[in-house]
Amino acid sequence: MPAFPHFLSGFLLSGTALLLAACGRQERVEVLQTRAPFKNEPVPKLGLSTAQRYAANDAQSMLRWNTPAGWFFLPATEFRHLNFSFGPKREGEAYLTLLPVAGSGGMLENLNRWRKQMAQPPLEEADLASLPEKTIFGRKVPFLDLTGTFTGGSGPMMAASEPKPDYRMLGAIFEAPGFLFTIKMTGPTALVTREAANFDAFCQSLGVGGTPGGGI
Amino acid sequence: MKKAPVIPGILLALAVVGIVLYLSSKTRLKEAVTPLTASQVAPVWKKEVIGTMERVAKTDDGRTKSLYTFAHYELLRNRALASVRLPLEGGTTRTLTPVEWFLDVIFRPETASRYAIFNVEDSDALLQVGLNPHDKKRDKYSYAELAPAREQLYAARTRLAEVPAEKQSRLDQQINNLATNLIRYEDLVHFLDFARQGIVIPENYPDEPLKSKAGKTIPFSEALAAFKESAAFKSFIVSAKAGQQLPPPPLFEKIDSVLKDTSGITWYPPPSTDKPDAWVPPAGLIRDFLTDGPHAATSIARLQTLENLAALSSDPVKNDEFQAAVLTFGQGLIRDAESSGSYKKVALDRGYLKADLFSWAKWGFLLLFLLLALSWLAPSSGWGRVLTKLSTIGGFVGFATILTGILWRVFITGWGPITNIYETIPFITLMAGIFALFMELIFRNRISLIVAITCGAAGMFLAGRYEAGDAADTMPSLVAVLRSNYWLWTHVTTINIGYATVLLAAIFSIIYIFCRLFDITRQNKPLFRMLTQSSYGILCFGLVFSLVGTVLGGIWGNESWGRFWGWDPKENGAMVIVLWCLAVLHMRLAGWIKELGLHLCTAFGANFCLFSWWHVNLLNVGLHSYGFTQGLDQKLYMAYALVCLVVLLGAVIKFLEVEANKAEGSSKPAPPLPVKAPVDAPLLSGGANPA
Amino acid sequence: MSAETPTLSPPETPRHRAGLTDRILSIVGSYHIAVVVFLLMIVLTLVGTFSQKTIGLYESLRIYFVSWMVPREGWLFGFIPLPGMALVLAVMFVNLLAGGVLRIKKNWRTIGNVIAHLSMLGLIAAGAASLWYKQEGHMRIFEGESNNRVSAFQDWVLEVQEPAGAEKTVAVIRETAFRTDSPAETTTFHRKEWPFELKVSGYQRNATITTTGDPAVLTASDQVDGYTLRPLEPNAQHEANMAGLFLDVLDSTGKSIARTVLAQAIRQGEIVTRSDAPFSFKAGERNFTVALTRESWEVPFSIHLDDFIATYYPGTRKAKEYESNVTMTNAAGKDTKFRIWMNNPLRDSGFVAYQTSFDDQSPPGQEKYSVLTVVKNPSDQWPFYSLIMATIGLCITFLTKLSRFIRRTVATPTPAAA
Repeated sequence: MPAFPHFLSGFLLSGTALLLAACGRQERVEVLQTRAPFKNEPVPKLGLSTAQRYAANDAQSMLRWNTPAGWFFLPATEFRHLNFSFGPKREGEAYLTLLPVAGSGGMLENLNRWRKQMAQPPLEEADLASLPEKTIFGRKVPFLDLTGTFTGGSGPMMAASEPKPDYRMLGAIFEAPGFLFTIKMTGPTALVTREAANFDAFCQSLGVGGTPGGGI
Repeated sequence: MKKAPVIPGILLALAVVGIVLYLSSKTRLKEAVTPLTASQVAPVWKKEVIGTMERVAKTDDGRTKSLYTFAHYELLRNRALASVRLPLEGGTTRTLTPVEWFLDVIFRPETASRYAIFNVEDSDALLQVGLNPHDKKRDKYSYAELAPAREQLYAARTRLAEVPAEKQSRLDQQINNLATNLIRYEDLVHFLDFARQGIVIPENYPDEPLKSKAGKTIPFSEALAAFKESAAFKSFIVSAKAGQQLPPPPLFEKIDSVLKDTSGITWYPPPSTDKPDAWVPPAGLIRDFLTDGPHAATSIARLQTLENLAALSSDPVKNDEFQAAVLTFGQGLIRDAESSGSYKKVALDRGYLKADLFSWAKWGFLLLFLLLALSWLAPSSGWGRVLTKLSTIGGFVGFATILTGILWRVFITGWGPITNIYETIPFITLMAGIFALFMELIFRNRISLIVAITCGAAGMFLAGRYEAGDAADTMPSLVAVLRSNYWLWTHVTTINIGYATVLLAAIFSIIYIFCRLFDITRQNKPLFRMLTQSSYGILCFGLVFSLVGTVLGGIWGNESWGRFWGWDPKENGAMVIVLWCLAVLHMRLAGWIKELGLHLCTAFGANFCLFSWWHVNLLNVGLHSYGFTQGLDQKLYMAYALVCLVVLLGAVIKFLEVEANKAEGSSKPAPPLPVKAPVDAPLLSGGANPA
Repeated sequence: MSAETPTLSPPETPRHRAGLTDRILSIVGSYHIAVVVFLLMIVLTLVGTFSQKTIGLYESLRIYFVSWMVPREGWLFGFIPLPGMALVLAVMFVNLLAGGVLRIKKNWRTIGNVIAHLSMLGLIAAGAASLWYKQEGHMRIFEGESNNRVSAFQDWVLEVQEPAGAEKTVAVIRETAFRTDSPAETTTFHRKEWPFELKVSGYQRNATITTTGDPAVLTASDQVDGYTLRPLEPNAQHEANMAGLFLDVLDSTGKSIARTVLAQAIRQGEIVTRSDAPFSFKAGERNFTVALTRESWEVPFSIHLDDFIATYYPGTRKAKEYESNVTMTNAAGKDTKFRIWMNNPLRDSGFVAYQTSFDDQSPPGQEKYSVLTVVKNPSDQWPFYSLIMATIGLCITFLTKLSRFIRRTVATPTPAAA
């Protein structure tokens, strides 16, 4: 009787098929599909940085920088256009703000606000010249390095929070045409000291438009 | 051996009648015990007033229907029954029709709030919202009883809005339904508040003509007319047109709340024939009046009519005058609707619901079932023949009734016989009935007749249950893609004929299985041959209709969405039926199954049919999704289990048969197949066995 | 059952032929295969239908309905392997052709069956043709504007081009080629025109761009310039998923010379990734760009939306009808006016345009728009012809059987059963 082989044949055929399941996904693939360019297709812009492509705000799309290894790039906030945290518990913070000069209170006032956060007496206009300088955005700017009890809020305009002893603050405030830049790093002294080189590198890398480190 | 099927026949008859009576008794309930005193009951409405008001037209969701239809479904949803029975002092009762109830609610809200019209399935639902329920688990409650918990009910409803329907418990679902019903009821209760209460002019109203009336309560219509004349309103309109946002003048807020109260009942017909869609509720009159819309000219007069009715309704002495005024009001609405040209099918709509053909068919089929069961007691006697004749004629009349009901609906809606899932039930019933009666005409042995009548009764029973459970207009307006009579008449009808035939084939097979159980040695060969031929033949038709219907559906999909086949659940369901039919037919050809196997497979096919007809809708995915129906899944699983149980009986039969053959020994081998081998001339080879 | 199995040489076998071809045909075209195929199709369809509840239509298509083999994740009860629907249908095609068309005895009695079987071959062929050659996408046209570009509903693609290069075409890599089951897997793409290779890693079905400090990605292991992927719960509606991946440009030694992360950036619920700002890199002196975008293509005509009309049922927001009145300009520059509405598509030069969706609720100042589905399907009308054949075939078969049956029954009435 040919009945049995016939009967089996149905399963055999689908059974062979099951063996094909072993075929995995190809790891290396040749690209064969193409399309002609569209009429009126915009010419893609070249040389944009990741930040420019995914910029969360106008400042980010204008700026260039290198994020130091181990730093966390935080979402931008209303005032912090570049916003980072670092340290084992992410307790250190570094950020860049950019305010229109009008209404920002000016360089000295902001500098003294920072000093106050670290319980330091305010400076006079004349003292500014005596501060150490660094080159950021291709210009020489006064640099602040303070150690003490930090009473600053979590935002530049926030009310003072709980005092944090043994803190260190590094930062620079300067005016560029139309804008007041602030770049600031705060955290426990040991951590900031360890990351100071990274902060320096970050400041050095800051630039506008083209390559990192370019001038304004 | 003509005796064999009598016992199962009677048992089956009794079982079906018993189940139907039990299930329908569940919908008829004892009424609330507290009787109402004479003063608590509204005066009886005059017949001509009700007759007129029932014919008043109202639009809802794009459909112009009778007020009767609207009130019927409102009541059905609240109460699970489309009438109100009021227990009176002295043990008597009074029954209110839907429109009587509706008129009481809008004109005499105080009185109507004592009618027990809210059905609560499980009194635990009331405990959850802090009410003391009646003793009975399932009972009816009045608005007055539920009102204290309205805040809790609404809060619960808001909370449940976040929970998907399939995740809600039965109690959740009931609380949700109750709260929804209460909201809709309150829409009706407050409908005429503005006419009863008038409006208080704010103290700070800046200019005439309303300034002098500040602090007083005046009729709403008067206030509205004066409001439109006031400078404050005019400057507000000018500023709004210029795109500015001035603060609205005082009184605006109060008018706004009246707009909300009176937007429910859209019964004012369009003022002219060129705007057939301009039906408005009282709120629309107000809006049109203020914005010089189409109804502006008649707005004030119409609002005054409502105020006049409200004033008369509150005075028990003027009952006759009030009823006469309602009559005039209703006649006016009908006259206006007729002259606007949009009244055409409203009387037909009321007539359809009043005729209640499907219920008549249900009870008729049940009666026929009993007649037929009686005739089986003495099949060949004179009485038996008369009863059989009667049942046959009755069967035809019953299905003609269903057909009339379906055509009536087609005439009202103007669309094909099936546009929603409710309409599939009478249609499938009708088709199964027609095929079964056709079989009866061929075989004339009463088996197909009893199948037809059972299908009729069961189908109409299901339709009634579905309608009561859904408690919404069964003729809602169609979404854009369905608005195509060509496809509604071709694809939708064909695929449903497919369902009907596959289910019918399953029913014949189930009967076969039961008959085999009672007649294990298969003495009654003609009976089994007839069942096999019926089942097989109908299955073939099922294949044709399912296949054609499925492919037609694909072509429709290609015309409306650009894809012939999208693996949508409903498409898949239909295809599974086709595949199962094909599998069964080819299994027979391949020799995997023979007579009994064919019946087991055909019976099992009912599951695929149920899956496609009902189950895919529960999945709530795809283009044919009708939403999740609470409790339907459990009923479906029960149906699946029943079908599987019957199929399992087949295994028992096989076992018994083998035992019987052993007992008889090999001396008398009963040929298991009436038709053997010639596959090309299969079971439909007729009464004469060619072998 | 097997003891009772009657002789299984199917009755329509012509006895006089018994060559090797015939024997092969009789095995390939046997009823047994047919039945197994039907049962497998039922199982696949049911499993695939139920799976849509949890994984959505697109995934269920991929796993069950367009696959040759059902991947591991779709196995029945987790341990029973299943063939994919494509394979089952292919087997069915061969079986039907051998058993139902070639081998079946052809006479006036079987003519209906043959026609019906042929129609089913047509249906399967139509399915295969649309699976391989169907092009489908949507075209959004604002009122008063024209469009000739169609975008895919679901597929994301990597588009690689050299803006200033000699080769003007844009290389396209479909999501199906770079999707992986786990982010740890990678796929490398090469092309003879390229002096580099592209390595895709960290693929996510649904993700958005975020920064490494985002609390939602505390465990992000990979990043580029402080940016990384934030995986999102895959949506059952695949149209709503946004693919995300890391891309390495490898030189001939396999060293990464440029690196980026690609996905859509979302801010306040809106996608803000600019289409004209792709990832660009230098390979030697040549500039290339890579963009992750919806696949889109041009059609050889343009459609101008003259007027869009939506009508609603009075007092509701339920659309009664909606229609696009369009002017179509074909490649030769000839204008034709059409009205496209539900169930009434526009058919021209192999393309079909369907009314799909619309927005007439735009804020003031913005035009309302209409969305058309534009399909090019060589097998557009095949199911229709198959249907006609199937209906004719089945009707011939069953009506002749029925009439024969009724004639005999009337000739020899069946005795009453009771």
